[in-house]
Amino acid sequence: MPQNAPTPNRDAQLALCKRVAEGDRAAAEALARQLMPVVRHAARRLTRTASDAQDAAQVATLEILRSAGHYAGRGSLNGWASRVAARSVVRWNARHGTPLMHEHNPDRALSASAPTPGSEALARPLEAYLDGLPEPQRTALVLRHSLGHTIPEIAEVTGAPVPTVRSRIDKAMTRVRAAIRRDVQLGTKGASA
Amino acid sequence: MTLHLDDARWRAAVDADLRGDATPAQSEFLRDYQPHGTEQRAEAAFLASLAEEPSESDAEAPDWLDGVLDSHVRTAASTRPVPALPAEAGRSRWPLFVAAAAAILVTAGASVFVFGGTSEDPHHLEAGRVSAIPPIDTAPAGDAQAPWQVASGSAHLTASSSALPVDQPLVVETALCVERPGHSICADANSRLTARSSGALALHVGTATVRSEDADEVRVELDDVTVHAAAHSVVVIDRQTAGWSVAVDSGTARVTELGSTRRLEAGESLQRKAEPASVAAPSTKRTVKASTLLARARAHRRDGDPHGAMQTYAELIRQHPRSPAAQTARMSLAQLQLDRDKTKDALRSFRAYLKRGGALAEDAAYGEIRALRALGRTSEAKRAAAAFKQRYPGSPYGAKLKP
Repeated sequence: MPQNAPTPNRDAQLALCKRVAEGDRAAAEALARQLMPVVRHAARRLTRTASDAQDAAQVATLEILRSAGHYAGRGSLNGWASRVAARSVVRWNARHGTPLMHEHNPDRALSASAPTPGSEALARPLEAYLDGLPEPQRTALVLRHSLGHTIPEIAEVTGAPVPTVRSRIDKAMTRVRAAIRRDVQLGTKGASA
Repeated sequence: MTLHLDDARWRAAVDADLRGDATPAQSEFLRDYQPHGTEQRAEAAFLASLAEEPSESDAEAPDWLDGVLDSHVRTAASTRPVPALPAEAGRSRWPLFVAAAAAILVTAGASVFVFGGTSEDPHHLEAGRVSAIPPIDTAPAGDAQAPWQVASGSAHLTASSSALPVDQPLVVETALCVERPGHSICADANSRLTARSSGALALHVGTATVRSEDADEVRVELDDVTVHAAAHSVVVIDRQTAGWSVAVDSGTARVTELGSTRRLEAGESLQRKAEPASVAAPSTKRTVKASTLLARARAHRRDGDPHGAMQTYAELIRQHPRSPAAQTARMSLAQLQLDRDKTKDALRSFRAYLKRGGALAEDAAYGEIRALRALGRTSEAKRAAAAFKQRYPGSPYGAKLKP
């Protein structure tokens, strides 16, 4: 979730953003490097292939640099950047994103997450479950639980009404639970552990 | 029984939290409770993986960062407020153009004095006026294919007219701006370009900022790639030995690579790296870059044309057999072949991938087993499955290999 508490270096961040807006290349590089984990995280979670994530991350980084002058310091810089990046990636995805085509997607394997603590309880990689979701449901669930957006923020980013966003998240979780139940019944490794 | 009830309570709290209407008690319960049921534990693992924080390793600068920074700096320079020229008062786009041109000149280390300073050298093409480019919307009406005229800057070539000669390569000395009614292109110092009789401009090396104020598009050629800057667009094209990039500052552009077209919107960019092998030792035989072929194959897949994708993957493998892109292509080709019952070909492709190894070896080994089973080569498939289980004991494919 985005951190909204004031931080001691807020003035420094605002000054950095101002320099970025003025076209200071060194400042732009510093900001881009600082926010790169946030951007890549959003791009990886919201796209279906490694190459899509790369392309979307570029566009999102540019969008953040161009919007830096609008950062007012009211929330954390990372939270602001995450929202800008998410909006940019969702827009990019709608135009250029690779649809899920068939069971195996080699590009997806390149972008799969590294195992995380506790993920051994999952029978398949996280992306396998996300790839089983229709795009609107996947986007809503990722924005909510992975990127920490509020429901109204998701509504704004996706252009969907708030009730629709809630419905998409509900449906996404229903599908994920069904997939997990199926894996458990098949007795795959995580479930049998 | 209590255990199951608590798991059910946990799941209700998860739903409420995701919907944004969890009560404080539910939030507290979610923080403290670890589900016990198998399904619920797997669900908790799914949610934990999904909520994983960005990785520290993601802080490493990507190879595309320089291009993004360049694009941002250019945009910031072009949108910085500048004093409006008296003749342009009231026109919305022109001041931005002056600022962009000025920024490019400053970047190239040029000054206004260079515009009139080299007229005695017959090998220099230079601007006829210091005041740079006139307002586009007051330019005389003319054919969109009218010759490019030098508006500012200078270039080295064997002509002394202010019109760019057709099909004669020229080297830009100081930042050069050329224009024709409705269109203009500014090239950085040391760029090399050629005006084509078709009206297009070929950029051999360097950076060019293309602006179209007209209803027509402007075409810039980079060998196999053509950039079409749409009407009312500003597009920055950079071409170096290491590759090329196209960034759309405003409007839209289309980038055509060997029949495959990619549309870019404002704020988007596209870049390609040159294949090291083809840069170091150019072949006399015409080849297409591996990255270009890979992009083309992906475009075919995106367009629902698997046959075209398979042909392009095969072409990539033939032209660049040792490139990393070819390895990716072998796997993609194998999967497409298997899905279309070209089982023998698929088996050959999976094995070709496995012979060289790579990140997808596990997938390829599983594909090999599927192909063997489909071909009815049961004993071979059994041996391959046994070897697979030994090599990848935790594979998610393991469950599918049970006889």
